[in-house]
Amino acid sequence: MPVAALKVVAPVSRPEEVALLIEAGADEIYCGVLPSQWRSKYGDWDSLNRRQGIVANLPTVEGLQAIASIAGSVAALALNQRYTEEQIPQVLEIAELWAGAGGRSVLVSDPGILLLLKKRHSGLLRHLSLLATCLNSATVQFFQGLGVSRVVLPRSLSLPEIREVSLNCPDIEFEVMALNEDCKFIDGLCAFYHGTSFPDGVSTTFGYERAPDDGLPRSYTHDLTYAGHACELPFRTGRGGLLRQRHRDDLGRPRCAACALGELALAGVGFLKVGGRGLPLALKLRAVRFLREVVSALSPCVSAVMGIDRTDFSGLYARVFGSPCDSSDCYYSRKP
Amino acid sequence: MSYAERLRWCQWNARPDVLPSRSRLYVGNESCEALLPRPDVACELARRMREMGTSLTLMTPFLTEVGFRRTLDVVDRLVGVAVGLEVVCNDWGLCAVLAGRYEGRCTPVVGRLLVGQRSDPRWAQVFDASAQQAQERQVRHSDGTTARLAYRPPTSSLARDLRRCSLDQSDLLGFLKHLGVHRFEISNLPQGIQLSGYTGFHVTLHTPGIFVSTARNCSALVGSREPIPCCGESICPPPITTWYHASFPGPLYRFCNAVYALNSSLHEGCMSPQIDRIVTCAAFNDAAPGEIEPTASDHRLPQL
Repeated sequence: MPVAALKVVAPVSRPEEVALLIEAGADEIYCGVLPSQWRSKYGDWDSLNRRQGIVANLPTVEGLQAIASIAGSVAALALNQRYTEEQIPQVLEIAELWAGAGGRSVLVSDPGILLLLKKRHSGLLRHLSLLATCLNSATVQFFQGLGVSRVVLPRSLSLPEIREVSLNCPDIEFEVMALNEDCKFIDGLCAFYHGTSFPDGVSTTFGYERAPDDGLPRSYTHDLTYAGHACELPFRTGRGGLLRQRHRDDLGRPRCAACALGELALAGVGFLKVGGRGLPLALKLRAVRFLREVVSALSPCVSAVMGIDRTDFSGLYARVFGSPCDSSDCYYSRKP
Repeated sequence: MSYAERLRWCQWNARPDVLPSRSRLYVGNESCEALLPRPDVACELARRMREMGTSLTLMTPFLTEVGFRRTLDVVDRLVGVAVGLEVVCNDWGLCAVLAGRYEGRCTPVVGRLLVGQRSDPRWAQVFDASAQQAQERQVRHSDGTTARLAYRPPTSSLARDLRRCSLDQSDLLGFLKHLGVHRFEISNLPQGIQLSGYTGFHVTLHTPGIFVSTARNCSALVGSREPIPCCGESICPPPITTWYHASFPGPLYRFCNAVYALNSSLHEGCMSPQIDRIVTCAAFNDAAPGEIEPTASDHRLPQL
């Protein structure tokens, strides 16, 4: 895969972000939706895709249709949770609505959804979410048999492991996380749920309703004890210690794969995902511009034929993000 | 009246004198491929089990390419030695490959890492209205505005969702049945479980250990910047350690590179005739025996 062909895949949570992100250098986008019909049944936790709440998700299907009509040919809709049988018809309805409005791809992890899309001869391209935990080529081939054309590889794979999977599956497109989000747990094998915590001092709102009695804004939730994502909570250990948890989505020092992009391209990766659907637009734009600059800097001198050594983009990282990186910020310096 | 089969699950390096003598023995680790046994170690145990008339279930973890090859090496050797060999697969690729590889001499089982249960122990708290209402409060936004946070009880749809598992879809189970898979495994969730009753599928219930999450390796969970070398031999698996946080209803248990919660109460859903096997992990019993060893009467479940 020539470096110049690497595509940047950007997160979108509102239709008005689409044009700006594409102008900044995004080749493709992805988004999620959490419509009120779904929230009223299941709440606003990450039950329809892996992001909770209406900040990271489009709150209405109209918003989804708007994105499909603006940029559907380069857009994927995240329907990447595992669903129960009762939820399946609603999920398929959203997928069909997306396709009908011009959406091209869906990001899926549930083999049941893949089976049904195949059975229905859906025209949607099926991207396998990293939540499907595809760590080896036999698993890629299993999902390929269910109609998958692209696989987003889990962050826990090392570069040599990515290379081996890719070599064994030449007919599949591969995508990796390239910027912003990380977690100590393997997403697809993690049942800790993502809810919405409500700390004081937040700058955003959470879909409030006016109470019938006093007219004051109220936010209803099923779990008022929810204190945060388990990967970010400071657990006390039985030995009296405190388990140090770094906030992996640290806005100042995002997780990054920039220095490994050349090697990733040679390993057969064609798509670079920027995490952070819930981030402010300015941070999404900054992330896309950064990756685009890295790809542009690499492409004149690198091709699959020439090979490449790891290139150091730490200076660019420090300039763009305002603080220097270290190896713990790098997706591919510490694996496995 | 017959009862569900009760089995113990041990690690490969369990001392021979603590291996239970039952109709079937579960051996292996579900989250760490460094703990796959060497084929000769696996075969030796399988021979011993065969002499005792005990069938073998090999528990396998999620797998990289290297782990996948090692697993096939082990299974290839066990097929000729073990009685009634089952392999619990926590990797879709392995499940599909085993289903077509051994012509009935090895039965693949879908492991609980793949079934999609809502096993965060915090879910049980959403049904506790009084505890939730006690948390209702005012929040202040950075612009000075405020809002009231209020409890909304789970809808019947959410309640069902939290008790079911996503593997339990008729189309998906039909597909798996066609592949040759007839059993899947679940954890005993504190909010209860609800099975569809799909014909022809058997279900194994793990209790009291509830699988919640896993990392690639132990170092990710202890906060080490450098990987902890995995030896897969004498020092692994390490002792279980407990994690506490006030927002959780009880402790979490880190075992190897995975995190578990515990629940030994069996709700009504556990009486489903589909559940014909109950498995208890020996490691949890060693960690907190009084707390987690269920009484015999808890396990008086009807069998198919």
